[in-house]
Amino acid sequence: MFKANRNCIYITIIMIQNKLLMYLTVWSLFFVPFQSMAQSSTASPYSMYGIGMLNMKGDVINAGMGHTGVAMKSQGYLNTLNPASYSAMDSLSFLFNVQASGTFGKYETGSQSQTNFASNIDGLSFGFKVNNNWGMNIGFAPYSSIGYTIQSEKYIIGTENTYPVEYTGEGGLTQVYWGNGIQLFKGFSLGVNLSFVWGSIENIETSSYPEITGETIHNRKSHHVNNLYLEYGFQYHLPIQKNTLSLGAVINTETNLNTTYEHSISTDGGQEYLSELKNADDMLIPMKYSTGLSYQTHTGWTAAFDYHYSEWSSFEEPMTSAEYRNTNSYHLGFQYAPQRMGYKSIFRRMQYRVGAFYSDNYLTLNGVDLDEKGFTMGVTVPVRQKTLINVAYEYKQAGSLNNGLIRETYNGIKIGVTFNESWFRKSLFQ
Amino acid sequence: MLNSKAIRIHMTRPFLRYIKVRSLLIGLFFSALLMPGCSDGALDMGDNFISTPTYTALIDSVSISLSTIRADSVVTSGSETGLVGYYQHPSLGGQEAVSYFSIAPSESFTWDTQKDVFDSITFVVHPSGYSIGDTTSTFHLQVHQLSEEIEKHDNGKLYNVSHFGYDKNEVLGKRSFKPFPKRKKKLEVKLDDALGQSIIDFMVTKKDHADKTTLFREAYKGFVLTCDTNLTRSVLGFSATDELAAIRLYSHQVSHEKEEMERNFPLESSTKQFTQLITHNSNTVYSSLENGKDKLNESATNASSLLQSGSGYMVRVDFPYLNNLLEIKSEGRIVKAELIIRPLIGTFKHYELPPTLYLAEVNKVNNIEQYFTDADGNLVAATRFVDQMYNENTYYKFNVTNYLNYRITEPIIDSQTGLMIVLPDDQNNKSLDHVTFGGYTNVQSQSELHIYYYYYDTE
Repeated sequence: MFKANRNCIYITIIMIQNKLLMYLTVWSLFFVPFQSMAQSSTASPYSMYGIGMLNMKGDVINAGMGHTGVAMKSQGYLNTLNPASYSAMDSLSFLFNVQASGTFGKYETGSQSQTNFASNIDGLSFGFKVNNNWGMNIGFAPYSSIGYTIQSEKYIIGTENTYPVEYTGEGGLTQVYWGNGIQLFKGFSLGVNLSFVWGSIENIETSSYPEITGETIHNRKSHHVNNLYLEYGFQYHLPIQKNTLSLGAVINTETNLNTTYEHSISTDGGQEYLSELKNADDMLIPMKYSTGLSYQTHTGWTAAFDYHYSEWSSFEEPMTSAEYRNTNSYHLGFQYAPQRMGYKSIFRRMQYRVGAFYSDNYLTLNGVDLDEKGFTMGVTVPVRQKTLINVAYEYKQAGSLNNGLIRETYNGIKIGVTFNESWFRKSLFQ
Repeated sequence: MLNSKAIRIHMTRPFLRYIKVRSLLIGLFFSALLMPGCSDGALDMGDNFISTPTYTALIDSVSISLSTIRADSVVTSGSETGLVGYYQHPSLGGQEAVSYFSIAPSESFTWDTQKDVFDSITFVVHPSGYSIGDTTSTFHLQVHQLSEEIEKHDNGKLYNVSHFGYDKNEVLGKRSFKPFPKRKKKLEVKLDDALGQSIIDFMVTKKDHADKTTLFREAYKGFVLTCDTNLTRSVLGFSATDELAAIRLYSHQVSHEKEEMERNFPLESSTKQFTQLITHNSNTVYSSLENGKDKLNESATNASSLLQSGSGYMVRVDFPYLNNLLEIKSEGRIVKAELIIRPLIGTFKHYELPPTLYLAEVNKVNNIEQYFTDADGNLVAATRFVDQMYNENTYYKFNVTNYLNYRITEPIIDSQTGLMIVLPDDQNNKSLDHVTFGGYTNVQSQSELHIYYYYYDTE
């Protein structure tokens, strides 16, 4: 008996080692491109301002529901919209999530248009239960991204001639986080998410002078930022008969980003006109409040509504024509999960979602307040055991054609896989 | 044993299945999604979307100042071309070209005093194709014999100011003709028979003398080609090579039949062949240039400056207010600086403009410090734009970007250094081509400095 038990433990260890190996393989497969690709998931010209385009947070499941989830539990997946949700994870499960997105973007001005396909790893996370009431999640996610190419031209002042100027942007902010959700008493959880945010914001203006010289000047301005970033949340789940009403809220504290500024001007011919590195005024991630409400019926229906408010007007950036404003955003989503457990039809085991959102962009350009709105759809396909493949589609309109601006239309697909392994339980009953 | 077998089975099967089915599918899924991003079309935005403080401006108001200088001397030897004639330059006055050369004894010369009979002696020459002046008027060529040997300078060269003695009134031979320089047809001038007889006597008596060549040189010294400056109105070039120019001796032998013979005494060496330039008018405004250190500002010469091959006239360009450029130095960078030098309208025919002009840095006393070269050390020539259609916008353009960027980094800007526009050295002995450039103050053909300045902001 003792011997058999020892073998069981042995098997367990090997199992864990094998799976760890597999996860690590998967991880390393995605981790490498993640680092390089996390910074190119947008082609929006608006990403030249501030810290770039903010990535919509959350799991693919949240994305399918109009990016709602502040009040939703992490049941079978990792709901990164509220760290308090981690306390609801299955205590015997180990969750590993990886998700990616591919987006077709169309960028239009009054007379021109550009299409673009951008893809990116959207996130990577490990979640597990520390004890019955304490869930933890460790992961990576892109926070914002910058990526654009705009052709323009400028007059050589004093002449009738112009010279081509190309504006390109690259970079973005990434966060690595450590989230904790603790259930204080039945139905009530608190959460805290500690993350380290870092990245670079690079704006390059390339002036060429084909008429007067072969010289091409690259004027590169890079801001390198980093800091710790804190997020606090709570969730309260109130049973109403067989159904559940949930409330949630999250506060993200205003965070100054330690900023260094690098300005270099050099030519294709190898001449360096300027190269300076100095401390710059700190950029910041403003205070953000989020609240959410959700209602889950025992028949498998979930309705959720989230509201976010961010104080972007405190953001300052020298030398741009952009103004920053406080933003409101509203998200609404529905989910239908006919049968949680069961083995009959795959369609009965799948989950279905729709959602819509309206969100202010933090930019006011040329007097136009920018915003974005869209609708989403999503499904979850359970694979073996509790592993889920989540797919979400999103249609989004952003920007404006007014006052010489750009209107953007996006069609995006997000795919996420949550490996839901009941390691500990499985090994013991092998 | 049993247990370990169970372990093996357990390990392999589910694990493989796991890898195969799920990972493969998911892997495919992701890799399809993570195709490299791509873009189609371009957003060409006006500056209403983006405005950056960076800009480029053309500054064409930086003053320059042209002046004419005249080099003390110009090397004219060794070019295998000689110039002879007289030409009335529109602003420099009469210019006379005189060409010197010496001949060597023919090595294969034999003379049978019994049979050989001297007929005549000539100077044979071929036009180089170059001419300036009025070639429709008759050219009056004269050949004289030098009364002193041509002596090279210590550096082995001869200059446009070098000269050697000869009697102008004693003409060895002369010929008047209509020049057709482009035809390059052989020209022959009959010389005094006494010279022919003298050479024959010398060659016969000194036939086996060890120092025959030296003695020949001492005896005949050299020759000079001149023209009748009262009548000649053009300057012609001729090829001064031992193949195309020679003293030719004609004779015949009387035996059974008359047999005519010719013997050539070729040019001794191209290094001893040179052209002297003589200025006839000393009352022009340019005559005030007494030596190579002098400068004649454009203000004294009708807002123009001139350049001439052979005579040593060159154009100097100064930047009197370069200090003002320092004020913008901290804000940006000279992207491109171009020196635009315009030939004065009405003073040139576009096909006469020299194809190549070089630029050099000169110090206060007009000494060339260095030429403008490219990375490989080759001289950089000006770009020539010829307005053949209207003849209005013809100019030479020099790239002076590096020069000005370097100048404005000087701790103290030396306003005494400048630039010089020069012709290729090998042109000096071959032509009297000239260009008059409009100065900075010339309204019609203004030479100017174009600075393209890239301004940038620093936070």
